[in-house]
Amino acid sequence: MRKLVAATALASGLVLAGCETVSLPSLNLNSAVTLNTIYGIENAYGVAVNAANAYKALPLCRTGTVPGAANICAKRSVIERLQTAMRKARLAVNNLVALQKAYPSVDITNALAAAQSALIGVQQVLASGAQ
Amino acid sequence: MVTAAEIEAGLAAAEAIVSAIVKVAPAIEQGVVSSLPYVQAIAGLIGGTNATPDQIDAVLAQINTATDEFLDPLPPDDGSTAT
Repeated sequence: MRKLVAATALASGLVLAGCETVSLPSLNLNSAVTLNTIYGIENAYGVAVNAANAYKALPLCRTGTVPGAANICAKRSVIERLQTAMRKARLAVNNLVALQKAYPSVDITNALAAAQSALIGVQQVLASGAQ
Repeated sequence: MVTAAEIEAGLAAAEAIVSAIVKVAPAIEQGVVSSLPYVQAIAGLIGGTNATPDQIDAVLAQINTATDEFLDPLPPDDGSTAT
């Protein structure tokens, strides 16, 4: 249930951000639409990082065991892949916000796409951990 | 016909599952509670609430702190958690 809520929220945030970006006729980052787009990405990231922290808080799976209903554990390999993906996502999201502040009239399309792509990468690793 | 042994095995399995869930419940609960503000913010956007620069800064600080926590290295593997 928790994973479903997190995945839904994450997907909603990405979809929301994506839809608003596509419909942007202007690149003025001070517009409400642009701020909403960035805020949506941030909050989707927030859900993802909380899910990652919850996963990391589980006991590590013992060698030779697999996660299951009676063996709720986190795989070291999944956490390490998540950390790699999360570093990229943090950089991308911080770059997006920094760009908005420094250059309010600059095209954010690439920074936005980078942030969305990095978040999708995190989501994919999280989903693999649920296997 | 279900035997007593099968029922006992089923109960043992159920106990193991409950035990496992109870052990990790705090971590799961923390994850859900911590995610609520983000989910609510997304819901607000969907509902038409506009974000402000201050909100963007505040959330960025929160997610960076949470990311720092997540990026703390795992304890070294002594071979017992090589999964």
